[in-house]
Amino acid sequence: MTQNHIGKTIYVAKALPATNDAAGFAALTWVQVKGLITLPQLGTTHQMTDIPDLATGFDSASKGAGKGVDTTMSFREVDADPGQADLIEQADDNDGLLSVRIVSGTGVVGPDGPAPVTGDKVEYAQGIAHSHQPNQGDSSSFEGFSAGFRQNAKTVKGTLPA
Amino acid sequence: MSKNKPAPAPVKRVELVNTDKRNGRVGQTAAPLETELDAWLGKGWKRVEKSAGNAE
Repeated sequence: MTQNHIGKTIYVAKALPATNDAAGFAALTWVQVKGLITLPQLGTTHQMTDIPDLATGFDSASKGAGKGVDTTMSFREVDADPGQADLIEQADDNDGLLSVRIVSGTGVVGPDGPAPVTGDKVEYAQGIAHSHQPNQGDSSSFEGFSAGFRQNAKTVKGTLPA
Repeated sequence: MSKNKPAPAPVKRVELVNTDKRNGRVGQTAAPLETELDAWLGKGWKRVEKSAGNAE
């Protein structure tokens, strides 16, 4: 059955794994970013090279290089949250290297979502955090921020290790 | 008569600290599996030095 995304949580690490696989990501030190509103879009896009053909009048495509998606994640403001501080720190940093972990937690549900437990499904990605933008204030908006994330390697799926 | 299988060896992790900004923030920690250690050390991660007081 198709599931929705409710209950997913996001964690960041201010470093990249030595290997782009589940074991590499599992070794990093993760911090939850609380107040999640929108998860980053993970995935890749590929260039397409159009090859014209005068005789047929039909352009065919040749698949080009792939690259990671550049997307935006957003949060409501949570005072003194270490995860938000880490994400903003990297988005404002000159290098901005960041790893993200999205967890479909099945543990006890607390104020910050379900707790992650061994065996929960996870998605990992590494890339660059950038473009930190506090929400624009008006009579109907709330405090929070968005940050960009440009993925720099393929998404890795796995389960939380013990 | 069946023999009891020996319990699998526990997975050992090694505490490392990042010393190369190309990996992210210097000072970040990681705990890779011992079997993955070479890949990490080759990219500028170093073993966490334990003080004498904490020596095992």
